[in-house]
Amino acid sequence: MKRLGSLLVVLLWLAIAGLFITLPWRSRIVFNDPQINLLLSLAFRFGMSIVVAYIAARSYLLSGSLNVLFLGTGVLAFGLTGVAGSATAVFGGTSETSIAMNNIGALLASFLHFTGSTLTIKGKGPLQLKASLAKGTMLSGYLGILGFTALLTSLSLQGALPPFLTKQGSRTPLNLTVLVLTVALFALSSLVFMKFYSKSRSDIIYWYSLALALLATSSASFFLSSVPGDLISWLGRSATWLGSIYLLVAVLTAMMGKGKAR
Amino acid sequence: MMRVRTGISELDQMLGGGFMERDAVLVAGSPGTGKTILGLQYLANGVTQFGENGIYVTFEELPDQIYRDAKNLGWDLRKMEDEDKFRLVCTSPDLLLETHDGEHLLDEPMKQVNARRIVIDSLSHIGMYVEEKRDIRKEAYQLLNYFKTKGLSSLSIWETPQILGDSFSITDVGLSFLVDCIVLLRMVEIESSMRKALVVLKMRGSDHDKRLREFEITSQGIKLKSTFSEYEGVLSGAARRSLTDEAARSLAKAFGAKELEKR
Amino acid sequence: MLSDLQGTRELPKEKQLLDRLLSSEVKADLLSLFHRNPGLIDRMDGVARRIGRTAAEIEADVRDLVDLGVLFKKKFSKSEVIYYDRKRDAEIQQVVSNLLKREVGG
Repeated sequence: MKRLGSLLVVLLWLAIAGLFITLPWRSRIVFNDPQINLLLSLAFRFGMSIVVAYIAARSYLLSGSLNVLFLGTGVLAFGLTGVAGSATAVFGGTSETSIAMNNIGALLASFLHFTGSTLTIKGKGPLQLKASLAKGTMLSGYLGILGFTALLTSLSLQGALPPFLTKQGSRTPLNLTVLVLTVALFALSSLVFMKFYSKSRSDIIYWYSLALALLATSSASFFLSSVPGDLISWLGRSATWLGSIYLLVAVLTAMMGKGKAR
Repeated sequence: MMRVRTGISELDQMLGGGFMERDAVLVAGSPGTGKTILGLQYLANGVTQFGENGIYVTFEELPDQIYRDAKNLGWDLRKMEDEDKFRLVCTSPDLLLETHDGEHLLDEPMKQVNARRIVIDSLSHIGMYVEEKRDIRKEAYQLLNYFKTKGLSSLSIWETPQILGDSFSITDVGLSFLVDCIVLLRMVEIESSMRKALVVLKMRGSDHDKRLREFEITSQGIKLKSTFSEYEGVLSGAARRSLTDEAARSLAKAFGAKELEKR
Repeated sequence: MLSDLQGTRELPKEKQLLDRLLSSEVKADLLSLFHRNPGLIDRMDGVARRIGRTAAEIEADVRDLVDLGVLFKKKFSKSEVIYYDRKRDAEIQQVVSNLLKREVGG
């Protein structure tokens, strides 16, 4: 099962690389339906994020361990901003607002995951708060993400966000910078967890690190794509969905109690 | 309606303030679950905290052990008897079921202490003195009714034979229909250790907490702890953590966290 | 009513009282049993069983203790039950205690 998971990731990388190399060909096919994007966002990004964020919250309340809280808020940020971004494109916004929200949300998520991963790899063990503080901290974190999403949505609908697409429809330097940072942070988080996996041999960590690698891949593909909705960006979206599935697999592994560190 | 408090604060909360006045309460449980201690605590707290005197009826061969056990838990029953606030009556079950010219065996002790509470330990002993099973229900009904007419809030203990497992009957003689309230005490196996669980199964005329709670017997009697919220199937004898709880614990452990002390 | 039977018997003289109270091992066992379990109310055979004897073995001593006013018998439905009188027990104990103090004192 783990081998299949790794194989799918590699295949996706190869497909993206292959498409990128065939420069003229990839831009000919463009398909971008906001409603389909919204449905797919709801099913994968949002659905996954709620489940994982809930388990992470329970886990944090049990352990008081901040790295788990960062992972939970990171996943929630990824899911909420993704579906909010897709929804704005359907209800009053444009594809640019959707892209801006998705990318900013992904950047926030990557930052939170990176913080969580560095806390995990710290040799002395993760930071732990007292039980009495844990509930308040958890609520603050999760409500903070909710508030951030609401603010982002409001700003994007008002047109208050800086431009993420040029008039010709290609990505602005700001957009590209956000994507590069997101790729870097998700990729680093994945590598950190892979290193952690090499010691712990926990299946949960294995699937989680692969999921983060896929989220890095999806941001990278958006970076490489010519226009939103081309083949590479659809491969990037596939990477997002696969990453969401892998996060769910990590949670299912945890539910079966099989993923404990050895 | 007035409530009869046990003095065990969490149990009184579960009961919505306490048992209903003059209700017939059945405390059922297998050996070693703390039924006698609960009965003694109900009476001792009645005397010391609420000014309600009581009678403890036992069919033990040598009940002086009850005085000793109660003393170990901080309840000086002999002192309460000297102050005419308590009586420990030891007799045979069939004598308890008889009357003579309208007089009952417990009339005198009741008058001596002006009893408001009574504990019968245990109602299961009646079964030894009746020929047919259905007569147990009849005899118990008459006895419980007698207590109600005397204005007593009764607590009857019933031994259930099964210690563990998923099949249990509170009573196999239909007593659960006669009583107003049923409190079940159970031994449960969780993660290779035996723990004690309490649940209010029935409470006529009042809402009550339906959750299963762990309890322990301390040097001051019974103390209720938290609910078994993270487990499922506790009463069935095969307790297991809920899936989400298992997932949360596994996730915490996978990311190198330890569990916080239980609140 | 049982309380009607708690009568106005006069106590025998002190020394005779002590002699009669401690005249047998059975009486000593019975006094010990009821002193430790003052709420005991049972038939002769029930009381006997609790001190490891038969009803026949204790009958005479029970009668004596009833006569002394320490125990009481009462007809109850089909049975005859034996009660213990706490107040009378306290009185007898006081008498015995006073006697012993006098004996020891002088």
